[in-house]
Amino acid sequence: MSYPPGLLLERVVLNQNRFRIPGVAPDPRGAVLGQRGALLFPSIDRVVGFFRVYSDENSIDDLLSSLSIRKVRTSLGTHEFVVWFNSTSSYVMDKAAAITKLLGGFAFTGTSRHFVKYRDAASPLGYDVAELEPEGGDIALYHDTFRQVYWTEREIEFGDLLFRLSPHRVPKSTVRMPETVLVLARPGLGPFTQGYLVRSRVTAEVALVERPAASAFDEGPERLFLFRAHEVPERIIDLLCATPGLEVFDPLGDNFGVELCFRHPINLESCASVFASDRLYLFAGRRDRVEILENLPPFTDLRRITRLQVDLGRADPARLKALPPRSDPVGLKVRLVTTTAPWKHVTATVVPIAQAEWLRKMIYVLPPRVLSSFRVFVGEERIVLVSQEGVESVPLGTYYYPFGSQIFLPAGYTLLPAASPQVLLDALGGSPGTLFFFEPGGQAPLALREPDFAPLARRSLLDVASVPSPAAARSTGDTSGPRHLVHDSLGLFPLWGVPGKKLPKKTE
Amino acid sequence: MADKKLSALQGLFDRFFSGFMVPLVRGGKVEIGAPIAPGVISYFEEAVPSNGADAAELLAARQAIAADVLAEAVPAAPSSDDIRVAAAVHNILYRTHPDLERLGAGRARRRAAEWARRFLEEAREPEGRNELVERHSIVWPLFRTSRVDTVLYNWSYRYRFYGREPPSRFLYWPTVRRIRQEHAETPFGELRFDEEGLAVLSFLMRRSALTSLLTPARALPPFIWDHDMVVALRDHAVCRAVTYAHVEQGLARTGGPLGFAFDQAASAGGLVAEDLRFLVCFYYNLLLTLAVGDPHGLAKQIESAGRQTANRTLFALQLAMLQRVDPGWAPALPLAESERAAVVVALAGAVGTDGETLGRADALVAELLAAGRQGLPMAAVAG
Repeated sequence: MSYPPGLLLERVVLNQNRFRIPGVAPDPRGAVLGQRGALLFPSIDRVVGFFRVYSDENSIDDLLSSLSIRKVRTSLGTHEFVVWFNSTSSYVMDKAAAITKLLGGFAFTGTSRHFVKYRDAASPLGYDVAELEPEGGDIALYHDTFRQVYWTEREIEFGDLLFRLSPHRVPKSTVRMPETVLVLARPGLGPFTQGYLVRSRVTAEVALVERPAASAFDEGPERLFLFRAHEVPERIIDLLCATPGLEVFDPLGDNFGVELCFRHPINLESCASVFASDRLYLFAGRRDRVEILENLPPFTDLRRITRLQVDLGRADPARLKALPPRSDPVGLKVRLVTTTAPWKHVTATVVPIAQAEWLRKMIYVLPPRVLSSFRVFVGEERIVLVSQEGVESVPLGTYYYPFGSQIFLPAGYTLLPAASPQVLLDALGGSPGTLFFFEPGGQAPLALREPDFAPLARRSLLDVASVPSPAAARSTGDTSGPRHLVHDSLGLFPLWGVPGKKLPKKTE
Repeated sequence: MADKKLSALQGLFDRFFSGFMVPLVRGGKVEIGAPIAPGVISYFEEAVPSNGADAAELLAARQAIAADVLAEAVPAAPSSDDIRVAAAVHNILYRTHPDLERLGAGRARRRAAEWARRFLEEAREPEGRNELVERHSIVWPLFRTSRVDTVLYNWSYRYRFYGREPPSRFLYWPTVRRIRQEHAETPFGELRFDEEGLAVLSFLMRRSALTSLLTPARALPPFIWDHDMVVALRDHAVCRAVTYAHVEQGLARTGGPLGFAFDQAASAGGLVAEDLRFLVCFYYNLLLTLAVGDPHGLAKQIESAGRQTANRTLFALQLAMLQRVDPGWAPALPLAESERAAVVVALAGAVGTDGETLGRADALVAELLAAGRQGLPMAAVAG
């Protein structure tokens, strides 16, 4: 007997206590509830989505003892996923059903093989079936739009699912810096990290752990340093995160942690019982790998094992033999004064950083010869352009002319007293490779290192990134274009007029 | 009257050759008309295409496919067996017509499958590497086909053209009628095949052992070992080509199907002991090639093969067994570079047929069969 879709299920009425579905009974609220709940999802990503949402506000640990995730197959060969768990109360089921519905799945209740649709707004007390599926399959699900028998293909351990999911990166601004961090260091970086933490006065402990070889073809276990640091300043965490070979983990529980600035899709605190107590699980986000460290040795305080190098030092010899310049009776302060003399050859310009946007636009229109002659220094407050051929082509900033080889004075100004450039340079204590810029109104000249100057053409090309174009791999024979199937219209009688469908009669 | 009939047959053949065979092998729009019936196949076998350029293109495309597998095999013009197999492929693809699922089309569906099976039964099994490659060049492009479904909207209606191009009259006045098209491409692996269709497809694979060997990770039909495939593998050049193809595809993709297929062959008794023994050698050969190419990546590949299919056991098991059966083959861990090289040299003879190697393989097979159900933890085996 087959039922139309609308009649597959019957609504349960108040005080009904006989059901065709075996193993279900009304709970204290009157809703039909079996011993187990089954959630049907079309794909594994929905299953992950379910745990992701569920773990945000509920504890997966409560479900874990009875949780089972199965990949099931229908008689048509399509695959779906069923999540089973003991439905201790209709409150738990309500939460699970709401999340399942949100994710496009279906919630069912039952006990052993037959599961009927869990209650919803259309039938607040739940459903019963009109007729049971007599045989076949490991599980039969009854929904108001379908009923289907499923065969279990394989079971997926929740732990496996958890360890295969990749942590995803979260914006740093949203990351809460933990009070304690775990730092995993490659063998070569261990002592340096140790020294750095001690010097930075960070309270930390260290343990030497072994990463077991994954296979016969590995070179054997790898020794790693594991630091547990407390109240680490943010700048140090930033440095540790940015150092290749170091990984910083946020310990979410006693024995598990996720790399800082990463988040596991499932709230790990809600399923802490998955993690064996004698192991440490570290979810490395950048490497997309779970480090499972066994037989953890006890942590040792860093200060106890760090070798101190104490320099007792020697007394400084007396150095102040001459009088300081301020008390020198003939000492003069160098002053920058305006002059009416015509401009000389201006070879430098200092552009305020506020005009950087203008400069950037100008660089686009500069001819190649001019562009190649400029060198640029980009400071926090100003940009300095230098060109031996003159900087008049850039009508920005304050122009400077060279006073000697290393000193630049603003155009229209001169220095008093009129000391020679070399004397002035000696007074400035200038070493070769430093350029001095006297700014009008400035207290002291700017000292810029020549190596900080870069060719303008090179410095301005910020966004040019090459796109790697790998050599062609061995051809797989698919060098030709796609092969698109184009069918003819079938017509009312598909075999009408097909030649040769009747074999010719054999003639003797 | 006879001339008119011959002319109609030639027209049919030309459409089959230029509209189906050539684009199937070379790429392009593969036109699928009414199913090819047994009554015309004898004409097709002898017919010469009216357009000589198409024949040359087909030859060039087949040689390109062949050159990618085995440089030394050069396909010639399609033989009568190739035509039969191509007609079978045509009928198999005909069965993917979406409208064939409607009421009243069941007979056409059954007939197409029946005729395809008949063509395949009549086609001779390929002998030697040249014929293997020739057959492969006709069958392999099947896995590169896809169907483009078009849904066309105008201001009031929606038309579905699955696997068909919308007639031009539907596209007149696109702005006035607010015509919009949506295209979706369905690859061959996702086309719908019923049980009968899958059976014919599996039969087609048995008729082209090389294609089956080179596509272990295909979606349909599932990869299984049979005697013909083992016979094909016994050719050293073919074995090398297949191994390289598997290495190229990566154990992450091929490991699962290979593992399952071996497990199935070993447990279901589908292969004789001699074939099974050879397969063990072949798997070693594959592992060794991977080990030579990337010794450190092998474990990762095995691991990722396991991740996909939860069947990492076979490969891992073989490594463990390798150690257990004959420590000389895989010294105690960890392997130094020099030792690893020694292992590779020692095992290079595993594909050979000398008695001693086969004797070792025998012992290995016995242990594998005794202990080798999937899911067995490594520690229990190696322990």
